[in-house]
Amino acid sequence: MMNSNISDHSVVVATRDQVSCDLAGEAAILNIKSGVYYGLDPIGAQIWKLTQEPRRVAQIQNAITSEYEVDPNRCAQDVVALLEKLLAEGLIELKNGTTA
Amino acid sequence: MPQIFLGTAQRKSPNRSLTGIFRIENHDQALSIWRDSGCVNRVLIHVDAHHDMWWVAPGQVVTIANYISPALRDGLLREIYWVVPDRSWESADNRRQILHHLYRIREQYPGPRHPVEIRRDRISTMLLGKPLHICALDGLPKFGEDVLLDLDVDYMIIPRVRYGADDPRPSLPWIWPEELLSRLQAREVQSDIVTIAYSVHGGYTPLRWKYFGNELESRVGGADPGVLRGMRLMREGAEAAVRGESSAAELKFIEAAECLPSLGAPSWQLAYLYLDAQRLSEARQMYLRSLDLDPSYRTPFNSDALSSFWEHRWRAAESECRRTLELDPGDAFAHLVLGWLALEQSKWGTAESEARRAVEIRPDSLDAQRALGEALQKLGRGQEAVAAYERSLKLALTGQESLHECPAIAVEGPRLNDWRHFDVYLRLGELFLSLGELDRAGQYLCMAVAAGLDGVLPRFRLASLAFRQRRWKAVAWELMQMAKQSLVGTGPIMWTLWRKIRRPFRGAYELWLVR
Repeated sequence: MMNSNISDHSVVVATRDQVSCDLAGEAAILNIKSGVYYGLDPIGAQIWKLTQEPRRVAQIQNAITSEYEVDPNRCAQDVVALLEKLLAEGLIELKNGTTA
Repeated sequence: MPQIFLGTAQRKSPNRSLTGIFRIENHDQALSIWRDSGCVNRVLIHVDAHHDMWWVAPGQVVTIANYISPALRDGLLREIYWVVPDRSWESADNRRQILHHLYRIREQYPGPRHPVEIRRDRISTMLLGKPLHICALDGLPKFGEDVLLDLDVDYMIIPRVRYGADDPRPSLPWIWPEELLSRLQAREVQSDIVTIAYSVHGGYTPLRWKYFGNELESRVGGADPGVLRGMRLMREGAEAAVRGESSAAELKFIEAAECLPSLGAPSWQLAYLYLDAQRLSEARQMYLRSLDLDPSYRTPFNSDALSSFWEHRWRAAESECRRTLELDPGDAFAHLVLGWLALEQSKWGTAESEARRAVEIRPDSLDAQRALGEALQKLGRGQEAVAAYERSLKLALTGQESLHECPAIAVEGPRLNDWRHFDVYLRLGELFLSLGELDRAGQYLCMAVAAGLDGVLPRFRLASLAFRQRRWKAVAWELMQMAKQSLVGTGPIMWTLWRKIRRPFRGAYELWLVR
């Protein structure tokens, strides 16, 4: 991935500065620090659920490709793109030494 | 003779990229216009029944109630004149209402508090080191430069500034657009940027007077005589209707419709005239015609129902909803307000049917989904209530707004401006607790608490949840938080008590100041 902080080998986990809940398959997240409130669609919500414990990005990609009929490369790109956004918003963090 | 508005084609300094007359729905849009125009260090004449200048810190939500504050903070303005309706100046008690606002505004702003100077024709102070003057139209000084002229249509309708709820709207405006402009002209006001806010959204300007915004624009911009004649006929029609001369009013409005073929206002006035005369089919025809001509007339604020509801005038609110439904049985918002009224009166069955009807017509109304959730919760139908509440939360996440929200734009970044949204999380937490879904109950209660709805009750719920899950450390923690919240809760009670005690003394002092 060009210009990306996250690679397939990165380990990501949700930060402690947020609270979230399952909203009938979707997810609502509140960043406690900034007060910004986010919504994720069902697939985003599933990725978010997987980040509740430290996981490699590749594991998350595999979980999504095993459940949805999607081209693995496309899936990998989309997962990383979402994780990049979550990272930028301070909702997830990279575990030590896993930056791309 | 100086021109009143030089605006449309003038460009006097290089930092101006935008000049002219701007009609806007919500008044906070004026801030974007000033910013886009590159305004720096300007004089603002704010003609409005509301000051719109509560303090807003950087990063907080900019709304119709505070958009002047960022303009002052960011150096767009160097001086403000808040022009209040004439009656606000006519008695000591009315002037006290203004003073009350001024004290509250001054308390909110950072920096040293400057003294308030009270003169016969003006009350002045400084905000952020810049002068703020409050006066009536005739108290405006003469300016030797172009000012930012910021007009709110509600100024013409609301006869005086009140601290708290506005007075009920009178049948006719206290001043007509033509008179307002001629009095500004008498003060030799010149402006290169004129913002005209309709302020229908929020219930400040009744929809029947929305066209005043168009009239102001026409008169300022120099419209053709046919349009101005149409506007005069609209005034004559309204005055005749108030005198009970229905036939004369009808003729005036029909003639106005011919002069103003693209304006929805004449048909709108005719619809209500026919409705009052029990000519229902003609009323409906005119109503639909006005909506065809101006789709913005299909608004929750198409009657006084919402204002009456918010001011707890239940009978008036119900009567307004019934009138709207006579004209349009498919008006979702009238059903919604009837649902809210039923909730207030604990008529859960009626509340459910009205809210359900509103949801059928407008599935994207988060208020209707919320009202349905509340009615179903009261009726003990937990699972159905959860579904309705969850739909309301999802709608908010897709950008749908609640009618309870103060109209806002995302100048400083998107923020949710509706505390009731997180109240739904609290309700869902309680529902999940009663349904035995403890994990979900915990998620929703934590969300509500994190969003600022912390208090004794949510902490008690979280403690009982932890107890049921046998998490003893969490029980202790939540009980501790509950105790803390009960202490925190006494603060506002003491503050309210103190305000009540000092109110008569402060009132007497303010009256003495503005005598």
